[in-house]
Amino acid sequence: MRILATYNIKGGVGKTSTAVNLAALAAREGQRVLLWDLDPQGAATFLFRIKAKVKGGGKRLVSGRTDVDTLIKGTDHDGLDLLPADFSYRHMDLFLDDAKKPDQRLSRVLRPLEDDYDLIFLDCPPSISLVSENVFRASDALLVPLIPTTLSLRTLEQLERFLEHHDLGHLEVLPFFSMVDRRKSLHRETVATLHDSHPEVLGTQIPSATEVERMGVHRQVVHELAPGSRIAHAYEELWAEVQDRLGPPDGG
Amino acid sequence: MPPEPTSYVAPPSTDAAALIASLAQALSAAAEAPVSERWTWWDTFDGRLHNAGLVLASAPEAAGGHVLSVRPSGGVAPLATVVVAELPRLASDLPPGRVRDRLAPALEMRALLPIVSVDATTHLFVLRNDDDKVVTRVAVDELRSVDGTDLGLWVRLLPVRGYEKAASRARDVLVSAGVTPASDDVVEIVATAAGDGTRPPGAYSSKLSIPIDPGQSAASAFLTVLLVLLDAIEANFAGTVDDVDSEFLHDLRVAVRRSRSALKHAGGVLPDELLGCFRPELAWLQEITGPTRDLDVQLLGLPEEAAALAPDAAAELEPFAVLLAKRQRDEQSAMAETLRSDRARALLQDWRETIESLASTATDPADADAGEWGSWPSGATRPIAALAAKRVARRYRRLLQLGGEITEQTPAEALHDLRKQGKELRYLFELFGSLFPASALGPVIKDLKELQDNLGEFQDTEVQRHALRGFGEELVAAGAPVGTILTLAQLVERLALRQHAARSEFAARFARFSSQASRKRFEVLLGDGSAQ
Repeated sequence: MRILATYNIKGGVGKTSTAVNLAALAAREGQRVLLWDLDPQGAATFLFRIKAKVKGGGKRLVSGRTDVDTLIKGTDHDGLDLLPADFSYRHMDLFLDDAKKPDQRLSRVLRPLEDDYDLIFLDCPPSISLVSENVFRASDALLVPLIPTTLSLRTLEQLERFLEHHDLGHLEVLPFFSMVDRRKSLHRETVATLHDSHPEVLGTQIPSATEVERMGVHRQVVHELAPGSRIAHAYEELWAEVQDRLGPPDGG
Repeated sequence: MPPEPTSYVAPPSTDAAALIASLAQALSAAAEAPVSERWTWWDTFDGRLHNAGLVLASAPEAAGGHVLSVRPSGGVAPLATVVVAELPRLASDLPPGRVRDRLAPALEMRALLPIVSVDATTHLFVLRNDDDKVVTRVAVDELRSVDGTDLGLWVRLLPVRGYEKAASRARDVLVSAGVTPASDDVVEIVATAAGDGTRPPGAYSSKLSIPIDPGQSAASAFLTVLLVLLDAIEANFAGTVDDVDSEFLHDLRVAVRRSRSALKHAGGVLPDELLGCFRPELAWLQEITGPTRDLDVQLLGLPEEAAALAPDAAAELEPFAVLLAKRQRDEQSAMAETLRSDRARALLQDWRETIESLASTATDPADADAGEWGSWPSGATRPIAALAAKRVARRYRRLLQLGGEITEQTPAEALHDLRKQGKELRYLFELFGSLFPASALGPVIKDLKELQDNLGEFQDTEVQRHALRGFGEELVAAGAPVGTILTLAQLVERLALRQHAARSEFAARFARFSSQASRKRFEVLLGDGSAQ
């Protein structure tokens, strides 16, 4: 089982869009995929038309008193399940802080699912907190969407420093440009310079596209909404590049 | 608690359109546009997937290739699916992934063969909640054989995880509509309904099960056994000739070897002339199939042998693997030609006619003669139970005597002879095992197997060592890379070490086999003192 998280300290950079679209692509390939919507806003949960409600709340779940198996909902996509968001997740930091080994709680919640899924996506709320530290410890790789601005470089470097200082060397960091508007000179320049200074940034760029906004209206992933569109192709390329970078999963 | 049913069938002659209309009303949903596909179900000749509780189906993929899906027997939801460009024959033809992971342990070396194909027209109901979220699906499949015969309606309930109430409501609707949970997997229902020589999965087993009545005359019992074995030879004949997979030849040879053993033990029971006629012919059949089987064994074992050496050993051994594969193909095609010969055809035909013609008089041999084979020998009328027990006791005593004479200085031939004696005893148990109480037979077979495994390891490693040496010489002559020769030498050395270890262990194994505790188990089996 491989765990991938979409993460950025900043909000509104395309984390949820990346998580749902890549999860749907992986499921379409025949992988068994679970998406855990950790964001109390529950955008991914809403998109899959599932109620943002976790029986017993987030506290019971992270403390291990709720059987995670009973909370999972099938989406309309074959092979893609969702662990829904819950409004109580806004206090997740407090729940984690109360628990034993607070930085490893999410790993423990996911452990019983090891044989059920090939791939788990964690869609994280923005911020750097105990929740994100849990996500880093549980994940094999972080997909980091970056809007091509000067600030992006700072947040990426901030993140890489944090990981270095917290003994998280195992974690593969896969930044990529998101919401790229080629008409904006700042975007073009940032893309050009950041690639030189940060070769770890993936080659695929996700364009800024109205289809992403329409996803929320129609509650569909881009492949249902606009198959064959530029953004649909971009997500396919991104997914191929991510898999290529990560190599085959351990144990087949 | 058993899982709730998901696989349903409609009563025979249910009108599909009427059922679909009534479901549409009861489910408050219209069926989507029907989709027609040809489905084919697959299994090995001996039903390994069936025995492992798995069902493999293929359907053509619209964009080309085939979708393969594996599901649990009796269920409807796939455990794994994969799209392949070409249908696989062996597990190794499948791309790495979950379908292969599921199938490979069950299939081992066996080839996938089509069991039955159907033309399915699927009417899908998608049930949604107030948020327009899919909460359950129901599929009604109209199944027809490829020649258009109606094979009935299969109804599948496809629950969505986390929406069990919706599935339960759909289940109630199905029951009200008159469909019932399927008692068997649909592939078995379809294979049975298709008739026309279609065998349901698992209809053939290479495991021997010969029910014999203890009071049956020895002649009749031997003929019963021989007929079962001939059925097995014939069942595996075409697959051997066509080289479908290596297990056809294996099973054919096992049946031939058991037949020969039965004829050996049938002295004084079946007419001498008959034995004199068929024993050499069956020996011939064994002989002409030997070289191919030896090469099959080497080819099948090579990956494991190489893996035990070093990570790069398989690559170094590639020229050897290529040579082995080529030799196997040559031997296989030569063997297939011999098996297609008049001699082989006549053997099987005459053998069947002989067994079947004698079977009718053998039930009471005292009152009849053995037709063209003259008269029945005196042992023909003896009850089989007494005769089998006596033969077992004799073989057992001989095994103890020969084994007791072996010391560390005894030449290897004596161990080979001992193994043959052990095999004869083992065959007696395989052929007439049903005459002995299972509770007493199991422990005795375990004792014997432990000894035979040791003797088998000793001899097999020797045979393989000699074979590898021969291949080594050929590879040197052909200018194979040094790495190949050195790795082959390592294989030979490993075999030598294993053989040495087997020899060293023999004394301890035989001591256990001839221990008081083991002798006691034989005594219990035979029910008297004849083991002593």
